[in-house]
Amino acid sequence: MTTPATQVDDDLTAFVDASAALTGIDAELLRPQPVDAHGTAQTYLDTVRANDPAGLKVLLQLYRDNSAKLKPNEIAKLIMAHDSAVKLLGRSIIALWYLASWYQPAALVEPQMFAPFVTISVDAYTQSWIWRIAQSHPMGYSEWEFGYWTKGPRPLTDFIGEGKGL
Amino acid sequence: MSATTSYDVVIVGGGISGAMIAKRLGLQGKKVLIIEAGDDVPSNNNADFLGTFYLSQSKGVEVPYTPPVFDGDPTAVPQTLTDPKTMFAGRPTVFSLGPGAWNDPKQSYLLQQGPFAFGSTYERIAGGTTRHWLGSSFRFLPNDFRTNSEYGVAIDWPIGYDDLERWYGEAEHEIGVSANVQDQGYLGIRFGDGYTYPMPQIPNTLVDHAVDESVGNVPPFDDIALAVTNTPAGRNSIPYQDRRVCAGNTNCIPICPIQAKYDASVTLADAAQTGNVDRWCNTVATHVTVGADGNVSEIRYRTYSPDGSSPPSEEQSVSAHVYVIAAHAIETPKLLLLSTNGGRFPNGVANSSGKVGKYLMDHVMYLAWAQSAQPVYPYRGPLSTAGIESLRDGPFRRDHAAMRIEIGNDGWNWPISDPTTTALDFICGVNNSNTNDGKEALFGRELAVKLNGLLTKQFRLGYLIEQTPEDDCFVSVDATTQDPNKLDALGAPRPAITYNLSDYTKLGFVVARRTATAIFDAMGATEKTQFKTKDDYQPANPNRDGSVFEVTYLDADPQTNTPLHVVPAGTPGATTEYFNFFGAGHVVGTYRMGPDKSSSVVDKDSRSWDHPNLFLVGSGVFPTVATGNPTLTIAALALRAADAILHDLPVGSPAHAGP
Repeated sequence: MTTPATQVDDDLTAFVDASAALTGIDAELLRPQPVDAHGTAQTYLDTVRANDPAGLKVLLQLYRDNSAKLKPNEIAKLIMAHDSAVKLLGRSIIALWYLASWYQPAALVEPQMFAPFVTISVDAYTQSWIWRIAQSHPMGYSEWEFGYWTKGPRPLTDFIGEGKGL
Repeated sequence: MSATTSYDVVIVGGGISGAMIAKRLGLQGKKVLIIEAGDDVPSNNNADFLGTFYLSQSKGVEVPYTPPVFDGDPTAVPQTLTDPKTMFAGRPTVFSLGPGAWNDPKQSYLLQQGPFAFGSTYERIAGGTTRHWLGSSFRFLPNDFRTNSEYGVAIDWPIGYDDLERWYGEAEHEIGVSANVQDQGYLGIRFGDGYTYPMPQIPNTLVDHAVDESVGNVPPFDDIALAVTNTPAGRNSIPYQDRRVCAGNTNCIPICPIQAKYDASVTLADAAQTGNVDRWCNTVATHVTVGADGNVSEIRYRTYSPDGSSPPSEEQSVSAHVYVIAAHAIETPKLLLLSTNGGRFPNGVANSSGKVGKYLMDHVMYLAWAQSAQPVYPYRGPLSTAGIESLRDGPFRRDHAAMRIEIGNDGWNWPISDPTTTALDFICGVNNSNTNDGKEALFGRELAVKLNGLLTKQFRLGYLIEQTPEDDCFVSVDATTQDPNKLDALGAPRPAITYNLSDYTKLGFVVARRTATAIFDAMGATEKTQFKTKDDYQPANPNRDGSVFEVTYLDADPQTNTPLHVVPAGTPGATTEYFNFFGAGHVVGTYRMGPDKSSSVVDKDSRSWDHPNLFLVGSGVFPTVATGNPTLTIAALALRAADAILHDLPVGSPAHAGP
């Protein structure tokens, strides 16, 4: 079920914070302020909720229970060391942000090359983070100008944040 | 069957050849009809195509275009290839080249007869295969036109470089090519006095510079030193033809989001602007009819609605003074071979030589990839901006294939579908990318930094290796087949392909592997090419990988003046290697031009020897595949043919329009 735009999703903050811990990308970048023009975070939360609501509940509860006492990266460790279902959901969430695609958690045990997935949307593709991790842009979606490729890119931290809060 | 309006010229095929000829003739006031089998240019041009590309699981060359490569919902998991028998204007796809698929007529539009899989594909859509071309706009070398005279290999063209020089220039301006003359005058390429390309070059990327800095340290091959050269590109470096400047989307294949890369829909629009060129799409030519005087008298065709909402039309016909078949090197011979004229031409029209469909060629591709020592920042800039052209010619052509080496800016996207594969490897702790030997499963900042370190060091080399015209490579049709799995949705037989690789070409792969490894070594890069083994080569297995071959050879021996050469397996001292190959999309040579009607299908103006008012244009006229990407030469030859057609047409008023 998709959350109406005017209603604040109670899980959104925890989902973004947990996503930041799992992906290594600053939470402020996953949740652009003041407005998320692409609605990516909410779209991804809705995607996870639609596909694995039970797993999402456990994962977010793990995050909430530990957010006051552990650093995000330590919570991510707990998630990825939790039972298989939560660990695999963690992988799916990383792949979701990186590749703008939903991989079923069960498909991420030992995926072969060309593991099947569903790209979330045209808009999501243009916001996929793996390209920024490569200090680049999605293939087929450059917002840069002629000749940019003759110079080195900006530092990685300009693309995915400083990581200080992680 | 009913006859339709008369035109000066009817052109079958709305790709680059058809579009360029139509524009030239339209500007001269000639009434022209283009019959295009596939869909027309969409009103929003690339927008829907781009959306399909973004959403598709598979980003292969045909994915954005119509008819859909995959059945039904493009987001369905798993995806299913569209059955070719359901398509009115089907075409091959790279997704039907895998083991068990390439020779399965329920998956492959081409009826592949083997022994190897023909790896190249084409589009049937307004704009043709330039919809998904890279944009590389090479002139052929003078020696490409005379390999028999120079090296005793293959055959000479009936024309030479100097015959095409003027047309190359005109084609470069029609396409809009970005390059600098001072960079392109190598291996005998000459330009007219004062000639300039219409736009300055597209600058090289950091990947190109990294190769360029080290390639001088590669030991010379046959006394030939390797060097990096900027690639002439059909891609805007300044605004041109009302189109934007390249923004480095790294997506020339399969689709430039901003049409900074030329495609033939640009020329189709120009042709329509003349007011003299009509375009009928979803209209499939079915038969070329020859009159009693030996001239073509009509083209028969059928129309269809792409969504199948109404049944296809009965056969109709259209007539003109001159006819041009510009339907690519597979659909053109198919149409000619099917045009038996009620038995008067049992071997098809334009085929008194028996050469229609013969000598199918491609640039067979060897792919090598590596991790650089320092970041080179791929996935930025156009897909390719430079290459190593040094091995396009040399005395070695007596013994093995020439090649050009394309430097890719697309990281390992082609070799292993990256960045996806490497990302999933480190998310899940697997090693499909050959970069995660320890099968680390990472997350958080450590994952992001690890992937950054790997992805920014990826690069690849793509070798375009020459094929010679051989008797065992050809297009044929079985006009009598009733097997529904060998027909299209109009009930027409689909093209069959017999395809092999010669020893001459296989030795080119041996040299390609050596030079790639030498280049990587000189750069201090770590090669990651996934080599094939004996287990991958199973010639007797019907479900084999049709793109893997074996070659056994003895090295050159200067003491006995013996060149690198192929020997039987088991020969003492011999080496056996296994390769997989890719098609370059350069489908060439099935209605070749030549000096006489016994050895060729068309003359040097692309005119049928048998039927004076029939022109066959496109890459099918190439007698040899040569060493450059073919599109610029296709365009140059089309413009040359347009000139000949203009001379043929009656002076004065154009054909009467209307019934």
